[in-house]
Amino acid sequence: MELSRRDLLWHTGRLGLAAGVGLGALPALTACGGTGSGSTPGDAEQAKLGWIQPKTGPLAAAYIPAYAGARLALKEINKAGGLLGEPVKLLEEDDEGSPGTQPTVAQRLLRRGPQMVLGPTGSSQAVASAAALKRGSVLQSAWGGADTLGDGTRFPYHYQLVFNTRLQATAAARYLYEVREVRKIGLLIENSEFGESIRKAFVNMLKDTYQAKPVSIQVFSPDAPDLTPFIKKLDRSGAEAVGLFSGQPQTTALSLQAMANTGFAPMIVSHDLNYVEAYDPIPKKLLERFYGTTYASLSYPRGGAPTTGPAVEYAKKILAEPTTGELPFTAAVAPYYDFLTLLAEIVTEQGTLDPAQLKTAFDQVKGYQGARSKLSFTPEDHNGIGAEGIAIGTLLSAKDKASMGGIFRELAPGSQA
Amino acid sequence: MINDILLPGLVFGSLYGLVAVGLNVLYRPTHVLNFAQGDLIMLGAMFMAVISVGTALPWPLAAIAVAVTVATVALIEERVAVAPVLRRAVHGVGWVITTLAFSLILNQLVGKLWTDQPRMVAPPGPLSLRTHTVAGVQFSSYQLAVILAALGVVIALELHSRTRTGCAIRAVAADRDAARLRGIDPDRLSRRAFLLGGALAGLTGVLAAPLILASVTMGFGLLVKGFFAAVVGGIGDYRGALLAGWIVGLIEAAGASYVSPGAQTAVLFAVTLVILMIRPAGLRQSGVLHRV
Repeated sequence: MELSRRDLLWHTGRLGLAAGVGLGALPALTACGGTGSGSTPGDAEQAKLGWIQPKTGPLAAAYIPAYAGARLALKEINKAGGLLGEPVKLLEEDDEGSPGTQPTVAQRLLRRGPQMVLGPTGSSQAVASAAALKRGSVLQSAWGGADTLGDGTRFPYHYQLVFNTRLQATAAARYLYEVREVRKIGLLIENSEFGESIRKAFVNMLKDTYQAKPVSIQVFSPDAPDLTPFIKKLDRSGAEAVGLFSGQPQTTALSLQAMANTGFAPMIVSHDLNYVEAYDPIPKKLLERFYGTTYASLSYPRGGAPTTGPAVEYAKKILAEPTTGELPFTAAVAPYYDFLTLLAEIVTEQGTLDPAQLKTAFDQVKGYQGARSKLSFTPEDHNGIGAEGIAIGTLLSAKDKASMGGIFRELAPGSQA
Repeated sequence: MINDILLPGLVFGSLYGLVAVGLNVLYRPTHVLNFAQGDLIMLGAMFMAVISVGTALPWPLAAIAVAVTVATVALIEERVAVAPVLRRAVHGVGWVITTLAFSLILNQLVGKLWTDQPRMVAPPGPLSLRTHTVAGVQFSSYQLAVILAALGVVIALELHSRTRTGCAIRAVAADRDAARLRGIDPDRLSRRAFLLGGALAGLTGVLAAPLILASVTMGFGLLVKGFFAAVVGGIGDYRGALLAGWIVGLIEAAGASYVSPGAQTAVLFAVTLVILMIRPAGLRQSGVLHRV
């Protein structure tokens, strides 16, 4: 925002007066610093939505489908008259998909004065961004699974609309040990913050609930060119099932390739059911027992099909959205559609764009039916999705006609939605 | 030991050696270390993945098509990012920025073309990645082929060094201006080197794809390890590059078995440092770098 000498003197005067009498300083500060909108109910201010997406770099194309739901929601909101009668103004920022750029991106955004921010995508990026935007007190929803992103005391204005690593690991461990009654479980995880949090949650779940532990835990570097040594160790440990958690699609594919080449064919539970086309050369015998976490509402019973309802309507819209491209599963599970539609409802209900008031309303959301899952928040717990929102689905059902391009997944044997 | 360290170390070390050899091919006549080499390799792997899925081209023809395509891209790089810099200052280091910039531009382009979906590329028949066991040693026919291919490339380049062109390249490497006075055209050699280096990068990508999968993010890791191998082997030395590539591969494989994955790079760096402290010009004390 441009600040003239007159404005500066005027605000400084207000600030001095406020310091003296304890009134009026905050609006002056927010107006200067671009921290939130500072609007009051009834203001006809335009909604400004910060949009953090990698537009450059080798992964630019890969990230486009992750924002398809957001584009869809934005079209719907603007078609319905926008927010408080004004179309939403987009403030797009390129973060190059890197955690290191987030402070600069946040600074640039805050200068432009958004009331809400969408993105970035990726756990490390999301944590860095939420930390940098914290001082701006703008509502934010990024796509990151790190548990800390759902901590309302640490990030009061950030709302996590995806299931976190703890929930995923717990669901995977429960499925293997309790549902499938596998006793020899191995873990194959990447050496990263994501991998470490998954490892902790998985091991704790086995220990606390079943007094058991993994037969082998193999940790690999995210850029490991060869997963064969780790696969061989898992095989030698006698593992009958493997929890496979990697943030890199490349290493998941390399793990499957190493399993295929060594003849090791365990049951697998992962957190990612994407990229099914990449596994075409992998023997079907191995892929038939590859399962992963997905949203319960985006699953269907074995031998059945998705029941008509909001999730199917949502899937149809996602498939029709041009930016979905070849990754409909990614587009559908992204949190942004639900974030924007919930935000629009709350803005309409509250009649304000003031982030502080919207935050108070968000903190009271209970059982809001999103397109992918029910959402509930409290002032302390900003992870909106509970354990009931997760199901274990099969990888190969992505090729079924019923899956609607891989958005829906058939429930794994014994799994319930 | 053989199955978990020696064989994987030699296989992936061969790839790193090929990256280092590619860097050396370009370095000899130009004294330029091409920071876009990793991305050229990535292009080779991605083109191979696209061709193998989208066409019925036999593997040898596909490999040649990829090598020619990547060589052309490398020649463009030489024309726009290297030759202008060398024309202005032969001993300058402007190429650090320009080759890095070319790498970034390639990155932007592939980011628009392809997603991060990894692409599996099958080895050429009758080779396969299926593990065989002979006398307790587990290996696949494709792994052996990669080691032999790397050896073959180095032997071919060593033989090429003894030809007239090879002698001319050595002359340019020793003294560009003196070579020019003797009627050698350094610019022509530079163009040839980039064509050859590009073709080699394409071939490295083709060989790497079945092992590490083709993906838009594969270039940087290969470049870093190839650079380690080039420095340890002695910049400009083909045999040293392959030998050092194997050492890097073996350290990596040993690290996967005995060291924490988080410390693998640190271990690699430490070993490299020790080698360079003992032999500052690399393992084979390259003839390109010499004391005067």
